[in-house]
Amino acid sequence: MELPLTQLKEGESGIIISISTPRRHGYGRHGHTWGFQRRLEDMGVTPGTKVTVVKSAPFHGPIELQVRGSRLAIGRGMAERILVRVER
Amino acid sequence: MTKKRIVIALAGNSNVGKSVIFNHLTGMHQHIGNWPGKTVERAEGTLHFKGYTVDIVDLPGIYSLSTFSIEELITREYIAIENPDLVINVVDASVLERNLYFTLQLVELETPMIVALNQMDMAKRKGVKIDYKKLEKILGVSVIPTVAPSQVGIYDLLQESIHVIEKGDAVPSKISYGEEVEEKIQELTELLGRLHLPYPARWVAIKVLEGDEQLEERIRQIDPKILSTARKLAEEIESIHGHLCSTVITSERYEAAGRIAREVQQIVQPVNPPFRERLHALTTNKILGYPIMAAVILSIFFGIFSFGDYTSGLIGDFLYSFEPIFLNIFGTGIAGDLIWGGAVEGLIAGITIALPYLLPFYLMLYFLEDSGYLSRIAFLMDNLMHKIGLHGKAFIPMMLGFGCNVPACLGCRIMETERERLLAIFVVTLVPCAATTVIILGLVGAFVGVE
Repeated sequence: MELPLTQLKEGESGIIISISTPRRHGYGRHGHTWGFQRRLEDMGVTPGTKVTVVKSAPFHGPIELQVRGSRLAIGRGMAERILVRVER
Repeated sequence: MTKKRIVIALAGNSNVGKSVIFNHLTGMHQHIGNWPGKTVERAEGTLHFKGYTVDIVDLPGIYSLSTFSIEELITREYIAIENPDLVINVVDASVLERNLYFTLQLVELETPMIVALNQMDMAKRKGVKIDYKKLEKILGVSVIPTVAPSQVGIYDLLQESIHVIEKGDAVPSKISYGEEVEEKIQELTELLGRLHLPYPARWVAIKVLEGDEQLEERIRQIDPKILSTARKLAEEIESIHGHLCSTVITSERYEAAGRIAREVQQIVQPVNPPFRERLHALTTNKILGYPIMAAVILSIFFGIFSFGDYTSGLIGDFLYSFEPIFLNIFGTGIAGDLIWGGAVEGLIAGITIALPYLLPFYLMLYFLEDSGYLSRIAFLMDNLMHKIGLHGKAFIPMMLGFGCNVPACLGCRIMETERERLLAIFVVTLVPCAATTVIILGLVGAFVGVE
């Protein structure tokens, strides 16, 4: 099942399928994505990677992830754009 | 041997203990400034070792060498253009994979380097055992295990650095990407080799495929044809993999880092994780997190103000005991009044207000920061902070602002973009600092207090 990361329960894991961010200079130009996608990828959030939701902050706050042995917290808006495959 | 000057730069992720190593290496001989024209701190220090004068430069903590932030740009320009004799890559052994991702990028920059495998104690506590000899062999550079806070391995690190510089063969073995990507990198490297850029051609090739705007701009000025070739190659990669070319390269680099990490580390039983884990779970708990946070902050302020009130009284009494002596010397006329009432009392007020409140505040804040609780608060407060247009992290300088606005503004450098930095600074200056709070409370007491 394919879901945005925000739909995962705490402790649930999935495989990242894609990160969809709007592109700056129209479609087709390579590489020119929003800096945030680069940032996420630099932190290890890349397609094909297993990601676990450790915690999700109350009042629609950020989400804490475990990915590639490290923990990071990202905003819910960004988590919404990360599509993962989960077994349910 | 004549005295020679060498330059060593420290590079690595944030929070890996770079600054601790820097402090141990340079001691008091430090010079903290800014990078020219940038709001990023530049720390430099000097030491003498085996007849060498060694300049150490502490580069900003970053995760990548793309140009997402100013810090990343500064680091790569420094390494590529100013060519330090050696780069010490400080690596957090407890988060090996993510740290190696950065290491591999330094490797691509073809800079002479060695690796300081830091926080070995933390790794052991997390149940990670690392075969550093094996890591040495895979990366092709020296790896020195260190525990920075207790100075373990710092001497070895320095000795090995000098040794490597003298030998002059610290350039690491390069990593290769998947077949399709590698082909394109090589094709582009050949084209770029003729341009004589100040960077290694292979690195530029990889960066241009990743869509690095800064490098693209440079190449466009020399030979725009190469860029269209690069774009074509990148599109080929995109059509094969179905992802952006930069995503493909990043994941392949991460895969390589992961492979190395899995090969050299062995996961055993963690020494004592449940307590730390439980504490983390408790402090970020949906319901309990907030009362805990409120209790911690309130008790800190209560503690600081009651301690400050008490010591401020003591210091005040002590200083005021000089009043009779003073008035004896200068008399009770206008001169005595002016000097005592104007200058000395003002000074006393300054000391009794600032010192007893500021000092414990910073001690507490240091403890909060060091324990990692401030990041938990940032996590809990993120949504609320977003409501006033700030990132959750801005909560930390805002807390600092309650102590003093000046270091709070300086603390805003933790924000990642220029915009967020400015916003946080503006808000921070509106926070009443410790001294202001005392005055406010005093005025409130004087005007609305009960008789």
